[in-house]
Amino acid sequence: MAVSRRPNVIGRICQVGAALLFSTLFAAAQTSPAAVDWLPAGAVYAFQVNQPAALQDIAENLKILDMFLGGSTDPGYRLLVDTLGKKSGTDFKGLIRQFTAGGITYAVYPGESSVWIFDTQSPVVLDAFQQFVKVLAGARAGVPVTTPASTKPAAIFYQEYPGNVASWSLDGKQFFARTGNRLIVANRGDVLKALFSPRTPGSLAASPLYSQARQAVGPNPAAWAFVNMAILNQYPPAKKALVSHELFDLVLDGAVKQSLADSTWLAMGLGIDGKKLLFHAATDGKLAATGAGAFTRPGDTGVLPNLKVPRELAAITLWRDLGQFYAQKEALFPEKTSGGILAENFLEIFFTGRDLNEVFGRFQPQVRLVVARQQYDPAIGTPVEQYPAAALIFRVEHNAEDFGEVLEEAWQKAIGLTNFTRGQSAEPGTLIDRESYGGVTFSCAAFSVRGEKDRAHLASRFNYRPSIVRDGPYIILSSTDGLAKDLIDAVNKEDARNPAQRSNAHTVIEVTSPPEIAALLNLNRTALIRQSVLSSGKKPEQAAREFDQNTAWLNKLDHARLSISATPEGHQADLELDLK
Amino acid sequence: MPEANPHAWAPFEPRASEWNIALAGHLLRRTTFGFTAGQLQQALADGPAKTIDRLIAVPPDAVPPDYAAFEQSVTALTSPEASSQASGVLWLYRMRNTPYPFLEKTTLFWHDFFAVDGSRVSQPSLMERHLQLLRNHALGRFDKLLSEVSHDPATLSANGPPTLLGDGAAREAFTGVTVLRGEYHYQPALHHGNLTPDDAVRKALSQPATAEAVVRRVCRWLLGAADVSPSMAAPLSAGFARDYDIAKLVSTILRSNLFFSAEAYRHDVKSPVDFALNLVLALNATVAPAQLHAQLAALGQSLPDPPSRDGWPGGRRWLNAFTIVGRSNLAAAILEKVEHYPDRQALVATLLQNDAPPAVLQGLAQSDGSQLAQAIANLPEFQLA
Repeated sequence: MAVSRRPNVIGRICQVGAALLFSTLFAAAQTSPAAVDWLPAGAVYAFQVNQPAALQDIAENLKILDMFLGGSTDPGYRLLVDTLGKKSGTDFKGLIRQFTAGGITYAVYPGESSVWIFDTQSPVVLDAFQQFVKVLAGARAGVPVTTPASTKPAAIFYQEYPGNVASWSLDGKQFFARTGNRLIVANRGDVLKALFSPRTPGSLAASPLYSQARQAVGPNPAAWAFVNMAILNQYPPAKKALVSHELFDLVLDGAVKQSLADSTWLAMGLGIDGKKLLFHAATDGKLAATGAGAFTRPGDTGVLPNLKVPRELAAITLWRDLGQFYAQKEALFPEKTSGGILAENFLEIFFTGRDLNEVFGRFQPQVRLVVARQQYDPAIGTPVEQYPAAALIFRVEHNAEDFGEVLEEAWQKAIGLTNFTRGQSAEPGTLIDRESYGGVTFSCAAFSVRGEKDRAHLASRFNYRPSIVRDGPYIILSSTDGLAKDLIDAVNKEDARNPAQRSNAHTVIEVTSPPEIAALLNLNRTALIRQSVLSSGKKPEQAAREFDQNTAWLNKLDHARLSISATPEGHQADLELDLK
Repeated sequence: MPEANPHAWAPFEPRASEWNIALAGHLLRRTTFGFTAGQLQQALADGPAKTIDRLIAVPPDAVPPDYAAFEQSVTALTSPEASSQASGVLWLYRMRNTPYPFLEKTTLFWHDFFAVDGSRVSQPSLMERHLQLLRNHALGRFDKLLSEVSHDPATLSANGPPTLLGDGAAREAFTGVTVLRGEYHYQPALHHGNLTPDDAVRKALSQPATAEAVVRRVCRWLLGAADVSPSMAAPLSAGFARDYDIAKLVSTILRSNLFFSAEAYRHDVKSPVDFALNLVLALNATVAPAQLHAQLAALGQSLPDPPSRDGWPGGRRWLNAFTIVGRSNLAAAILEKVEHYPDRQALVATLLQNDAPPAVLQGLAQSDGSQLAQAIANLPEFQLA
């Protein structure tokens, strides 16, 4: 039954191919092949949810559904949920289960065409939904509808076909079709039409890149996504995003970006094991022998295990050949900038004119970073804004004692320069002192608290007591002496001559204690909300709400671990999230 | 320069047909940072007198609950360790959200008048205090404002440390005043002159030239490039010298025939702040103050760091080949953050008050939404305050 009063608009989707649509819709309703067998090849991006119930359990545990859908006050949404809920005897969570019980599939094609496919297990909820839409379309079609930015009429239509098949649009922006237990939503009418038309190209499931990606995520993922990198890498913004010339980006994810730029597919799978979420990503892109690939190729070696310290929040262990990094500087930073030249000049001064190739070449490729919550010395006081302490741990090649002294001298020069610069803007500097701990004497620079009246509300500079420790082959650069001492204990527990290595892995990031991070964030709540408001333009209430949501999520997480490895076949990453 | 006209300062009392959307827009452009279609219609319905009453009725005379709540929200955003740049970012947040835009606009005027360069103030938190001082007295009495500013550590600190040969050294020698660890100090041992700061303020205020200079500067601000001659300013200067009442002075100027005359209408160039916030407020765009601060600095208005003792040069100097392109790019960045556009008619009325040559208005009829807003933002008419 057609209810639209705008035949010209209906024509956009219905009239031109009505006969064709009629027959193919009917045929589709009879066969209902798997969504990926039905979708055409050539998708840029696709994802499939194979175990929707398990994912919904997780989402409910994390209160994600309540957050995004439960509290909506949109009258149209409330009416839909109430109506369908009554017909199906369930609430909005039950409705989501019913709508998605048979799986969800989403695909994006070139030309910004996208399709959602929801497979239900029983037709009851779709029957109710279709009836609701039919009534609404009838009511809306009698009212002229315009979008805020345009006077063009929106397309409203509803059309039924034999064989329990229907198609409709209520706003001209989303186009729906229902066939049997399947609901299809497309962002364009012609996309929907093309789906039901006879076609010669093969299905998405049969395309070679999709098949390779599908194999890479293992036999039975709860959900998985496919990205056609062969197409995406031709898209200029994507190409640009995979090239980085920023130092931090290059060191941290330069190799991953290089690998993706070289790849033809990317697969990302999600597995569920009790309260553990296991993400696995793989790509066929390989590392080049130049650029970031030159200093991120662990080969048969790999990263060292993360170091454990009290109050640890997170730890990162990397395999980065700093000697190779410096040797590649012309390729990595093709444009000479004044900042780069200045930094190099300063490094030469800090290292008393030594050849920087030699300096960087003395570091072993295993580098570790530890972040921990601080324990403030009552004799010093507590800052109003509390920052975590962070430390970098290097190992140096032969003759560590001599080279360690060179590093300590360079560190003291850098601290002196910082003090000088702070003095220029009338800010207090630090006093460099020597401390002893566990048989190791090290340098520590600290701000004086003399004259500070309120020790419970110190300025944020009192979060820093930069320190450098030389302990055998280890060099520890820490933002506080407290963490430096904890790390002296930690490295002494490690077999310094032959520490365990993890083959192939070049990056392992662990979030050791998410609730501790949440607690620290809450201590700095006011400052972080302020920062969010001023840097994003959000209203304070919105920034506060988002902050509370994020900390609530952190409190749901017990532990997280990301491991990235380069293999002869390509690159892969594994992320494990332990939920509470 | 407008010459003596016996009716120049007489109240503008338009007949109903004379008060139109163009004049309502003119009044709001000069007294606010931007306005919505609703606020423009309100001004049109209320007429000039009632609109000016509403604009000038600001705290501290009466602190309504909405202002107290607003102040509370801004206080929560103030960091004890804010930098000068952070002060500027916070100030932009105030300008964007304040329920009393004329108070904030007047604060910006006094900041431009005293031209304390935030980047030279030794302790960043002092700049926040300085701006609050200006805000507290922005529409109060000028003699009190001047006295407070002369004791303000930020003002003294921005002159440079007394150890250098410069203003700081001269100030210390003549008045014995210096700033130690962010606090105002009088040190008799250093005082080689015979004037205290209070003496200096009293002497300045006793000079008729002071009132005249302030009045002419306020006129230049509110009337745009239409500078007034000393003889023209004389009636206002004489009154101002008696009571130094800033609110009364600006009220007289805003209500005058001269303010609504052709000599003042669109006779000034919008500052970058006005240009950006005009768009932001009219279209309710969600912009990040920190990002906007950097974009405005690139267009020549870095808050709160005026480039010289004379403040920002302003007027036509806001525009050159680079800033014209920069303004267009800034507009594009702001328009990206707009969620809903009004229809074409409302957009042209709000941003342009329908006041452009017919050929231009006809050209605008070809587009709507962001395209139309961008086209308006690029027009010469939109660059004018």
